[in-house]
Amino acid sequence: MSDKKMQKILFIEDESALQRTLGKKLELAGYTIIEAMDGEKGIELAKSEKPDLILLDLILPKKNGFDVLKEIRSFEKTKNIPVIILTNLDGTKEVEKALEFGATTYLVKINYSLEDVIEKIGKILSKNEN
Amino acid sequence: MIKIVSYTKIILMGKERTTSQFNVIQNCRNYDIPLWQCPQFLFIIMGLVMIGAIMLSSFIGTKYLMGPEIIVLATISITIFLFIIAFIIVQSFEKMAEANRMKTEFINIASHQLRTPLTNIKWGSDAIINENLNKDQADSLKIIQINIERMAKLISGLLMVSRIEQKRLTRNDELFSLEEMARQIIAESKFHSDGRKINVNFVANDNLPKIMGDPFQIKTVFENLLNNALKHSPENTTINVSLARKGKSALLEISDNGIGIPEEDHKYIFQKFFKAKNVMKTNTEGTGLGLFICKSIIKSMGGDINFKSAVGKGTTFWFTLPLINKK
Repeated sequence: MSDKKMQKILFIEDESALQRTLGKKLELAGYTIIEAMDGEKGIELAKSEKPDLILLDLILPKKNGFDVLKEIRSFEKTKNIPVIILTNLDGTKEVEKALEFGATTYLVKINYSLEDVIEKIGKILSKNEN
Repeated sequence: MIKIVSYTKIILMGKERTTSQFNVIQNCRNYDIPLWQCPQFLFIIMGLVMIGAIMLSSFIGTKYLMGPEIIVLATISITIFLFIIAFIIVQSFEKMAEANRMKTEFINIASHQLRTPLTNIKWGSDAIINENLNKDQADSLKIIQINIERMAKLISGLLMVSRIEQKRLTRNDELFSLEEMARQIIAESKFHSDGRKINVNFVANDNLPKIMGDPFQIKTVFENLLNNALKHSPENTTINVSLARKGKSALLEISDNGIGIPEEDHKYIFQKFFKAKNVMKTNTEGTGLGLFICKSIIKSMGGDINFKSAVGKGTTFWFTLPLINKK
């Protein structure tokens, strides 16, 4: 596996406490974290930073997660970046819509421990590397 | 809800739904009630009935009874009287329908909003669980985590009830083995049962074909029934789980030797928020939502669910699900 420091994760989440907790753990696990607190900033950073993976909340200020995902998938430089939806919405409609828009996977935050989320991220990144 | 002249503005999960008062069908959909119970629809029907009644009384009056002035006066009086009655009835219906909609919307929004701070606490405690904690600190943190899980389950239960009531609980059906699922859930339950020395015995009598249904929802049903049996069983007892064919259905039974359900509570057992009296004396945990959810799920899949129970002897819950013959 390549050096995790080289692997950048863009975390688009408006809840600062969650961003801090998960972000810190991911940094300790060796990843580089870029943070965005709203949808517009998220798209901007996805285009300029070209991260290896994006963690995306659905309820966001300025632009919601579905619009962010749609834009990421329509832009040449970002269309192949794996996107993990990390939300507390668990309706079938939201899950179907996110997968239809090209989400790599959909995680309902409250159902996963911090370790589970980090493990899922690791698996997706290593799969993408191969 | 904010009313602006002839428009209704509903704020829902951060999105706005704007519906014209004249769009009867859409308004009725917003209330999540059948058309025949919808205030706007009833108002139109009552209006038509009133027009019919006025025309009929006018016709009868002119043909058989009295002079035109009295008929006009009588017709106008009846019209005003009927209109006032109709208006009061429709207003009451509208208030009831709105209260019902607000209740389910409230559960929806409150449940989602509760999940965010709960995730903060959960992940926050996850972040420090592996730090250098002494035994007391580790025990306290474990208690916090157990209670986070309890609260998360309660919120999920409320959300599910809300979706059931709004008929928004959608299914992702697929073919799956009920036997495999039962074995897996029983194996997972050993973690909870071993501490109290409760043995869970499983027998699959027939080689059943796969079931077509939503595996996640059926798992919820089975977990609920098994957890209830575990919760109410005394130490050193056995819970018997059996899977068999019953006609064109699969039958799953869970029998315990627990405290049983008093006869007078039997008819309320599948109602939401209901808890049997003897349970409340010994164990106040639980929301009373589980069996309501179980029944809604099983009925939606064309199955049946019921139980037999005697106080002090135990309870057997069973449910059936239709078998699909693969061609």
